[in-house]
Amino acid sequence: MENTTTEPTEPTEATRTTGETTNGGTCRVCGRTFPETRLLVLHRGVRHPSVLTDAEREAYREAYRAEEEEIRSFRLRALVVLVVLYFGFLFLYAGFAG
Amino acid sequence: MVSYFTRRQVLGTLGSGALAGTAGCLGTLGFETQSAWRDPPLVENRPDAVYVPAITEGMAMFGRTTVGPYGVALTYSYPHRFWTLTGTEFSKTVVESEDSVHLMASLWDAETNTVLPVDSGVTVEVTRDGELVTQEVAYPMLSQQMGMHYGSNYALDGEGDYEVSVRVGGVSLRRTGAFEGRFETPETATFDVTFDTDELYDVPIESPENPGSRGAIPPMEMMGIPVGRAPDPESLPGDHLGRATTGDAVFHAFAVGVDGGDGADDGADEAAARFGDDPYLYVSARTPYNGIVLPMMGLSATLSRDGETVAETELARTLDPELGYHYGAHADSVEPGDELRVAVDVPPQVARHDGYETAFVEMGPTTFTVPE
Amino acid sequence: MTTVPDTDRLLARTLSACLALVGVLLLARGVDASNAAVGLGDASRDPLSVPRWLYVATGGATIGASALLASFVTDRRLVRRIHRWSVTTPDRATARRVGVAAGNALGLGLLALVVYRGFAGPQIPTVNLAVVFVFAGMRAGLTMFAYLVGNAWPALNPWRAVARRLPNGFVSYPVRVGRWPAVAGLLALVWMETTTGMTKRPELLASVVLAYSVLTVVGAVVVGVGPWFRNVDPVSVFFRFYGRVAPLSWDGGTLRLTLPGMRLVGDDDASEGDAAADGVAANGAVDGPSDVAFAVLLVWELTYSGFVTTERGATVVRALVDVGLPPLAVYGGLYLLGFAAFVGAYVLAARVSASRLQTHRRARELAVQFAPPLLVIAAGYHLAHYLAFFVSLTPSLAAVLAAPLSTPANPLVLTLPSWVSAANIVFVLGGHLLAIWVAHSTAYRLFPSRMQAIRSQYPFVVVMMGYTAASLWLISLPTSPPPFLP
Repeated sequence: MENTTTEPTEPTEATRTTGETTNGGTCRVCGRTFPETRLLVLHRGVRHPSVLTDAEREAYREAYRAEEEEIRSFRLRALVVLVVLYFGFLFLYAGFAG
Repeated sequence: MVSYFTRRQVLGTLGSGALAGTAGCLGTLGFETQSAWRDPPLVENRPDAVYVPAITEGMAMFGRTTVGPYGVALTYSYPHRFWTLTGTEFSKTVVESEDSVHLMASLWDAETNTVLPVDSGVTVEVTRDGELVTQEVAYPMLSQQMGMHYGSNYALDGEGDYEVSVRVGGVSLRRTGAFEGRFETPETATFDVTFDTDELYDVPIESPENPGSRGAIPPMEMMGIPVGRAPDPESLPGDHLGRATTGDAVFHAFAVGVDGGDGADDGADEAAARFGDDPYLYVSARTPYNGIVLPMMGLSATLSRDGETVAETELARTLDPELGYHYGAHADSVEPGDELRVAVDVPPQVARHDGYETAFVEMGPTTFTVPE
Repeated sequence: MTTVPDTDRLLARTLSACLALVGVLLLARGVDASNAAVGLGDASRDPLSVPRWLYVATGGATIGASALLASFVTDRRLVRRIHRWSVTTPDRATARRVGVAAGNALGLGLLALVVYRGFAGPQIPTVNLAVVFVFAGMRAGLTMFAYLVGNAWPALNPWRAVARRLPNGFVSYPVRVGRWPAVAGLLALVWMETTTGMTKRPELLASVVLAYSVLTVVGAVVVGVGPWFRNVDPVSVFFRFYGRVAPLSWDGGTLRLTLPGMRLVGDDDASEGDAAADGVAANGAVDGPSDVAFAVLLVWELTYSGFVTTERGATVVRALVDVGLPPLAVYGGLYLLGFAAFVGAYVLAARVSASRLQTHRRARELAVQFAPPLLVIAAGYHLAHYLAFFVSLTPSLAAVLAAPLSTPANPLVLTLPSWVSAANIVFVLGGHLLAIWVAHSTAYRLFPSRMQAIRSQYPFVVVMMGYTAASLWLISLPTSPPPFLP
């Protein structure tokens, strides 16, 4: 299971430079570990917004924006799937119903 | 949904009276109250014959009395469905929501214990403290356990005391012998009964081992109530022309006063005297397994000799103390070697319980030969 | 704190509206098809107007489509606001005490009546208080109340009422055992209900209830009232789990109203490590593998009892018996193997999810965290299988409760209009749709990256589509009594 240390630890090498390495790290507030740095950055911003340093806050905003891009492209693909599903079933019903 | 449950919790404390108030609301949604026993499942693949039903119910007695020439008994059982026959069309009477009990009246001649089938049935009137609760005709019906009786489902007003009057309107059948002139007057038998659902539920209800197989549950011989067994063919007067089956009913045909007959049958001379000089042909019809008399049929007979029709006549429904309930007619002459063809114009118009509703409806003609 | 762009919020709301619209359209198509397909045995039954595979596929596609639509909602604050919304009443400690005392009395009275009428009353199930109350009132009615309104069982529990007033707690309950005894107990109870014919024999039912009462009171006295009724007694755990779905709950001394199912999402602020140490489930309902098994069992037992009472199920059973297996072995095999299959599918989904995501959360933890949506699915299935049954027996239930010591002459039932079968489809799909939303909210709670949260859902959605298809197929089949059983 994950480390459960209650006192904040020193930020590790990986967490100081955001977006450069993906070695992951440990959250200095709650001790949860993440396999990717990006996830750690997001976690800090989501879970501990009140105790972020400025650098961490900036890193979070960047990671959030980067994720927005990913989400937009996902939404587009999901919309295509939904439209295909809808019309597909519409044609199936037109063909088989009645 | 939540508000309905709240209402239901309230209803539980108010009792079933309040339920009637919401029935209208539920009715608009498409829900209707009906009896859980309305139309129990029938046996699959019922044969076109007498069969053992899926569920059999016993009965309990309210009372037994004699009024005028009649012996009357009142019995009861769970409300259950039955079939009435008009012509050859069955119509099913199901258990309605208000029905509380199936009341049955048995009617017999107090002297000879012969069961009396009355075409028009008897009327059963239920009152409480002088006020009418329900009044309905009790149909003549045939059931494997009760034999020939009159019954119907009745809606009572809860548990408690009632007066039940069974009114017999007189027998309009042709009657012969000692029965002539008897059963003319209408009579009413009254019973004071207490309806208790716990006693009703003491009535046995069983699932027989072999439902759907050809056969019948034996009749319940109860406390001197005759079930209407047809007389033993050995004991019937006249020449026995034979035994035939049609529509799973058993016909025994007889001829009294056959020209040149050996006259060896018991009481032949007596019977000949009673029926006059002309020979008398008759058929005694009964159920195959229990031997219950089959009333309310329309039979016609054709007598032929050497290929030529000698007589064509209807066999009238007749009640006789020795012959029992039979279908008979006079013929000008009956000689050994004659052929008697009996056709069923109208099947028994008697109501049926489970086990009898597929039998005695499609009945083809049967032929008998007068013995040498 | 980053502000969520307004456009995002607008998009989320528009897409939520589209979810409702598309869902309704798909549902409407599905409903028409099944309305024709299901029927209720009336003479005026419409012939099937759509092939059954299409109707089943529509149900599965509805779930998949809803999952996709739910993933359009990426506003964390919106998601959190929905599952945290609540209304609390002022402290009602006295009312609660009085209510519990009244409930105890009612529960004890009803238990006594059930046992008495089971032995002394008429041995015809439709008019015997024991059978009607236990199966229509409790198995159907109280359960529906538990997940639609709130769990009333702890107040009504007669065995708790008795054991609480006796000295108890002589042996300490081993925490490692978890709720496995409850899982075994529920397996046993459902098995008995299916195969022993206690739904039709009041005397047998009364004996079972009596034996169960003795066993429960003795067990509660030995182990302690709390541990016994929280972990071992299958009836209490059954109602407790269903009750988690309900909008009403007791929070301290106050009554709290939340959106249905939203209490299953759990508390964001609690660090899971601390919560686990306290023994309180972080997700508000499920906190160990035995709980996961119980939640799957709730879904499975409805599917199983639905299957064996269909004509198709009867054919399968007869075919297996013809091969030479004894009937009880066939039923038992289907029961246990099916349960294993359902658990296996769910655990496989958790493993696939854990292995394909970049997370240090293990499959076991994911299985536990995503188990609460199963409770919502079970609630939807229960409603689909039991609401019609309960409503039609309401007159009988009212009659036996109004006059418990005498018997109604002619047991009345309500006939069901044809739209009830369509309503059942809606309940199955509705349970799954709500479960999708609960899982979505849970994923957002577990994962910092929103894409990760969305992707974590895929294997579970596939399993849910499978469960939906199976359930819709089942409720569209004609029913028949199970062969070889009393």
